[in-house]
Amino acid sequence: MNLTKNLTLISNLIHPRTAQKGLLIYNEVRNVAKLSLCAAHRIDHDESKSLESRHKGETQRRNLLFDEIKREQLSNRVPRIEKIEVKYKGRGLADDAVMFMNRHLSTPYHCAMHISSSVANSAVLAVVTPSDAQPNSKVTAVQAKHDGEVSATEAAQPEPILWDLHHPLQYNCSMELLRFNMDNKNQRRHQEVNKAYWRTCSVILGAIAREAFKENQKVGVLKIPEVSVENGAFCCDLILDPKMRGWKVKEEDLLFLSKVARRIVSKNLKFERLDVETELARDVFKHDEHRLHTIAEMATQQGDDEVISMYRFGEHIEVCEGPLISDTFKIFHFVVTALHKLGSNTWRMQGLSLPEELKVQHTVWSLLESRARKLVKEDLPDKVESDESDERIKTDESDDTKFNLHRYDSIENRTKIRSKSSGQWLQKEWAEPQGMIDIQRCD
Amino acid sequence: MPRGFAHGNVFRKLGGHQRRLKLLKILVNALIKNERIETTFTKAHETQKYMNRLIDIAKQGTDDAYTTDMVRYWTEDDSNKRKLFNVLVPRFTDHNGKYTRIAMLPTWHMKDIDDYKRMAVLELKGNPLPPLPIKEDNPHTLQNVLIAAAKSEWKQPKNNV
Amino acid sequence: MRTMTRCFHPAYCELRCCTQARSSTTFTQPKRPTLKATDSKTSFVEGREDPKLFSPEYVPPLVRPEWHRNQLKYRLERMDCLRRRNVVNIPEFYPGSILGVTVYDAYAPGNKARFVGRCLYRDGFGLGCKFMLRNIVEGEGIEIIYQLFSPAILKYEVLRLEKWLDTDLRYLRDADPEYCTISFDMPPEAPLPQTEELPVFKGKVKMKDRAVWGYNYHKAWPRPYNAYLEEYFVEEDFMEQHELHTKGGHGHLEFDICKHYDTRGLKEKLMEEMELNQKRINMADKKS
Repeated sequence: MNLTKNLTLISNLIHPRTAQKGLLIYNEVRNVAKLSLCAAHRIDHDESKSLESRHKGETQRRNLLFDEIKREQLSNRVPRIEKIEVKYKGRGLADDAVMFMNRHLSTPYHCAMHISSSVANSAVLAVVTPSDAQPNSKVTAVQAKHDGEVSATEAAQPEPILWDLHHPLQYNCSMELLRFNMDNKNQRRHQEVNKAYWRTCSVILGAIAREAFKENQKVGVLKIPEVSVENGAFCCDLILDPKMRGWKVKEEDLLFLSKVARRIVSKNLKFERLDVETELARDVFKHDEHRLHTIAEMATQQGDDEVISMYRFGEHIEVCEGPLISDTFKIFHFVVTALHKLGSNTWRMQGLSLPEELKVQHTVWSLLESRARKLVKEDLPDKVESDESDERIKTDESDDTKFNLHRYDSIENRTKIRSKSSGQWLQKEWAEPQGMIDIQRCD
Repeated sequence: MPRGFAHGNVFRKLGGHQRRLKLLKILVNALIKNERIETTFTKAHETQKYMNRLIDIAKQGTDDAYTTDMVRYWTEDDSNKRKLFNVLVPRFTDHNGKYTRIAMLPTWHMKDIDDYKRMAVLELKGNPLPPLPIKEDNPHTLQNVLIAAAKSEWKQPKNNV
Repeated sequence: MRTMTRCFHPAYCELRCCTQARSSTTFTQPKRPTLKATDSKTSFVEGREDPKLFSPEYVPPLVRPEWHRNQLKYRLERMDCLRRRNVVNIPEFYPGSILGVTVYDAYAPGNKARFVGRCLYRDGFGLGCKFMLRNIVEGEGIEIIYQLFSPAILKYEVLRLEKWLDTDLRYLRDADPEYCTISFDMPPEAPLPQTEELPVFKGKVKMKDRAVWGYNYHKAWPRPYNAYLEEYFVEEDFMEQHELHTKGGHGHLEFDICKHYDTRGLKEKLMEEMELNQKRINMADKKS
């Protein structure tokens, strides 16, 4: 903070235009410097210590690798700073602006900061339209592949691309910012924002699964399915330990999972995007077979163009296609509503979330929540349900009372409270010492 | 709302019965003629009730004695009467009750007496004038999409029962 | 209808008998067609519906603002009215009709007390409906207000069904005593069937000498139709009265459309509701 303050003070003395430029460059250089610090800093994170991560060494390795790749990419791409022209389209003519930003360094968020803090804070996604054909850019390459003849005309009218808010811009472009609540005429924009939000939330579910379970349980994120918003819940497929087959999920388990979610969300983590080649991505997720599988799937979908996007928030790294929202600060409600069993070991975690701008009344929220408890069957074959019931009957004999999650040490669990209505202890476990006390009183 | 609205005083006084009716008659006629008028909120809110009721009465048909009497009193000239029966009644055949809309305008500061008027626009629905910039609700935001989906699911026939 | 008439035609009957006789030797008596008294709604004249289905006390009171109307209370109260009507036969009557009412009275001989009189007005919603009977017994005017749905009332008799132009006949107190002097032994007259429209009494009542009027009939009051006030008021008085009506009194109400209470649309809805209520009551009775 002090540094920035000093810099602005100095910049006031010099010519405003140069001062602005200087500030910009400073911001971006600072970001780069921060990246190198990040890894060391993250490992010593105090909050993450309370929930011991299961594969500490593994996450550390991944994060270091991620940073290394990022640094390498930067050094390759930015031997020296180049300028690009970014045209910002606002709501009206008065809001429009043209900015000269740094290529591969400045992000849509930086552009938005130049306009106003409110615009920067309310933006969720950016829509970027390349203003001229870029031979190096990924988009034109893809278009050329589809049909080479039309590519020339398409280059003249390039399609808008959804762009993450914290992803550096790569070429001259015009840019629009999307919010959660916009003009009600552009339905498609809203759909895109909603989709991105839903996707983000399911990615967070995967992170919860990694944090919440005990060390002796093997937990893997099988898949992060993309379900439409109309289902009422986002979901994430897990593979749990075979020991947990007979686990009956209770309300308190879900509550604990929601608390873990809150713990992640409240850190206000940024989603950093990194486009890497398939080989590198495989290297990052060396020990995670499910991630390797998804990487392979994505690679086959994309074909020869072997670029895979990875996202990092906090110390979680996830392979994910398509844009995510800017940071977890936007998330207001987040609850884990259900944990359904799909097959023998596969489980489906479901949740419901809303951003801060779109709060709802509590009755409506409870209705939505009760709906989010139902199993989302959009991407499942119809058979699944019958399998599940069979499995349940077989495994019901095993120990149900097992508590598979981390014990959550809150004050509520430590202090014993009598209920005001019945005069009894709130939890049955506390009842024994109460009897002893009574005897003492009688004496 | 007029003072004592919740205690049964639903109507504003506006300077006595006869003057009140006279004023409302003028406003109702202006509304029929121009389809959109700008007055103080008090008058607009009072006129709104009478306009709705007048259209309700006019819907009963021209051969009703009560209708003919009331319409004769409330419309000043023949053109308004004809417009009421030939334009407004067909326009609102499918509507129920609410035929008008009020939008608030910024308060008017009368400098000479240093007082404020709450101004409003009163208009008939479905008028051919360019629409007022009234804030509309957005059905595409996340929470509204979720609520709509929940609603449609709830409305679906339940086969399990 | 056409088939029915053909059935009764003697020639047709004969022919049928013959054919039957031919086929079988034994004589079989032809079945007598059962004639049903038609009790469809259409047989009631407009304004003279079945009092169980529609009665003036079913119309909810005008309450403003609109959200102060307690529709549930009104519905329940109408239901209770119908329950009472199923126990006691409450016939249709109007202000002006002559009624005999038998009431339970613990101190009367036979625990019953009967009063006969002319109905002066009828007022109130639902179970709170009340009416006033007036009679002059041995030169003394007696007025009794009865609650229509009172459980103490054992029997209603309509001795003469009449309908006047006015709905409030309290000016009969100052009218000639002949209108309210009714014998307790008055035999009930046969009421007009409900298929016929009831004639409205449009005559004028002769008032007492103005000096002995109990009421000072104010000029601003609405003018009664059935009272012969012209005897005592001159034309200028009426002109003055008219002016008072239009300017000082309630003259503005004539065209104040928002203050009118239009109950024309309510009638059908109420009748539907009461039919449904009747069905519900029947169902409940069957179960118990």
